[in-house]
Amino acid sequence: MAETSSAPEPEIQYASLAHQGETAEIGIWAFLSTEILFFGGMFLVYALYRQAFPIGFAEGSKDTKFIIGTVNLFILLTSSFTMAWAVELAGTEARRALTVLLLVTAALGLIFIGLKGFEYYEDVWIDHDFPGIIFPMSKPDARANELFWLLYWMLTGLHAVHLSIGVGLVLTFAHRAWRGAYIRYGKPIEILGYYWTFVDLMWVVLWTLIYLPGRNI
Amino acid sequence: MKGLAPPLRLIVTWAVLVALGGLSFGLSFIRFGAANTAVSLVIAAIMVVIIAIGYIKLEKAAPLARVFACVGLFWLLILFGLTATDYAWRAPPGISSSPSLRIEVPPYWQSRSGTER
Repeated sequence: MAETSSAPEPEIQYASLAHQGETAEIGIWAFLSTEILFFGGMFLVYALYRQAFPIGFAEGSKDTKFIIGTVNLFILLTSSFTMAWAVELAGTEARRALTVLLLVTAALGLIFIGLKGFEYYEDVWIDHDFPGIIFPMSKPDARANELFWLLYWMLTGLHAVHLSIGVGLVLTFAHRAWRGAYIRYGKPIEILGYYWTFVDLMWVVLWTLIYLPGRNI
Repeated sequence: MKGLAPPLRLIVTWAVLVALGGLSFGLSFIRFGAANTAVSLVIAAIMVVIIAIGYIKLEKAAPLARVFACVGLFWLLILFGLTATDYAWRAPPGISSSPSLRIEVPPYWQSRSGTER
């Protein structure tokens, strides 16, 4: 609890806490802008190939685990809710509630990763939907189908990496919150919330692109 | 304890997002043809805007932070826009005319897609 005993002071390079907070806010958005382009480049490749091979992509998408993907969508939407709630409590005396909300957010992230792992297991070991020699060439429009699965693994794998990093960060912040680090200065939780919600937002786009096409074939 | 409950804004945001996700899930099974993709992308775009306003509170952020948040989208627009200038004017899609990538189209798709690939 030592961190709560002193009044919050800005780091030495900032004139005030407000100055420090605004710099952090701009910093996270500069980072997230690069992330938008990082994912955006792959979305572009996906869009072009899907336009070129609509059948193979619809057939590939039809074989994704729609229920798991959709449950994961709702899990992430809920985790963003608990994260946004935690942001509301940052900078207040509600140390225990803040810690609990961060732990719930991390737990929801871990459930997402667990379900995704199960989905990956089924994709590889049961359906062989992995680009390479194991890919079943008997599928309709197999080469384009395989291309869909390449993009599936790239996009969802990258997202899973981001989410895993997010879980690690949230757990670290939860530990600090428990020690009272964010009672007087809650900006770091807000910055963490931007990252977490961005990862959730990417899943909304990914889910729409990857799981929805081909369902009505 | 006072002030621990989530603000109504967050509850409404969550409920609307879950409803939109459910709507998109349900609509994907209905056959709209090419409109399926358009409808799902419009719903996704609405969800993204709702997250940006409801969860991230972007409209309340510092002006410069908002500029930084929009810069990524601006460059993304350029990326997609300039690429589209090629793909919009070069028809039919050049990829399908490459012999090495030529693929067989199942008969039941040929009538729906309208083009021989």
